[in-house]
Amino acid sequence: MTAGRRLALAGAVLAAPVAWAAQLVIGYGVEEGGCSTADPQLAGLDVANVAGVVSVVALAVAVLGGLTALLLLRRRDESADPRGSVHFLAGAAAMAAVIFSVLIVFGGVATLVLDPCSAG
Amino acid sequence: MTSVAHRAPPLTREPAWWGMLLLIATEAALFALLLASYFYVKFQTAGLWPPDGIADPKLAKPVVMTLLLMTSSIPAYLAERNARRGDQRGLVLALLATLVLGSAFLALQIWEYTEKAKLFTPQTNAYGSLFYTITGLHGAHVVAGLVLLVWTLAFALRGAFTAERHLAVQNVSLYWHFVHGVWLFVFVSLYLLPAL
Repeated sequence: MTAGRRLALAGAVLAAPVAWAAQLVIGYGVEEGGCSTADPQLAGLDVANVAGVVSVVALAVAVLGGLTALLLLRRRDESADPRGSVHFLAGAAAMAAVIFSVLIVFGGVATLVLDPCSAG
Repeated sequence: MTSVAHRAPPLTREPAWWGMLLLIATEAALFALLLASYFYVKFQTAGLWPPDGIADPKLAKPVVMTLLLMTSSIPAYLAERNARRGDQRGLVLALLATLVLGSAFLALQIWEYTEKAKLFTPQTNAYGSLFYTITGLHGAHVVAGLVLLVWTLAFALRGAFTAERHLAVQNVSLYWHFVHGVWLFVFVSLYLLPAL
């Protein structure tokens, strides 16, 4: 197994969950910080737009992780992966990418459709 | 300059070990979110914490519970080591010791619940809901760990594990260390910090 392939595997496994966690934490931070004033802005940008950009970037990272996982699944090297661990982890990463992408989309849609600074 | 195509050693762990690691990662995220919810509610609540006149948690029993769970990680580690060495008797004894210490923890948690229930319930307020949800979820993980330990012990008594084949012992040990590790966060957040 090459070092690059191992790095790609680590990236594929971690990308989607880390992207979702980042969207969740940064989204909360943006809304907590931006909505505390009468004019809901953060560094001159509308809070809803910032939350939207965070969601788009998070989705891109999650999809990239999923594509990397699919690439690893397709280019299986059994001689370098005698136990099948790489294949298993790549499969898990591909599934996780789908689940976390859906989560990111739902979270992103909520921030775009609903008023992020609504008290309710 | 290092070549990108540098050959790294193959992943030496079995897929099942990685599967357990992924399971632990998801469970850890669940506990992290619950603890984040707890601290969110705590900092959003004006006045004293715990709220509504609920007394600060008493530390004696939780400290003993913590010590029991911390100690139980030692035989869990020894079980894995003994399995690796092919020491059947040592493996059985270590699994039994982990089982006894884990059961003692659970017994103390049930005792703790019977006393807490006189002061507040999950329906009392958000603090009560979060307290019982977090400690209850951890208790459920302890029960799952004990079931896994009994299952592993049953196989160990039949001599199913050898120095070469003992993945189940490795996985159960890993899971038990996680249960212990999570408790430290639960103990500090729900018992130690409010009592300070």
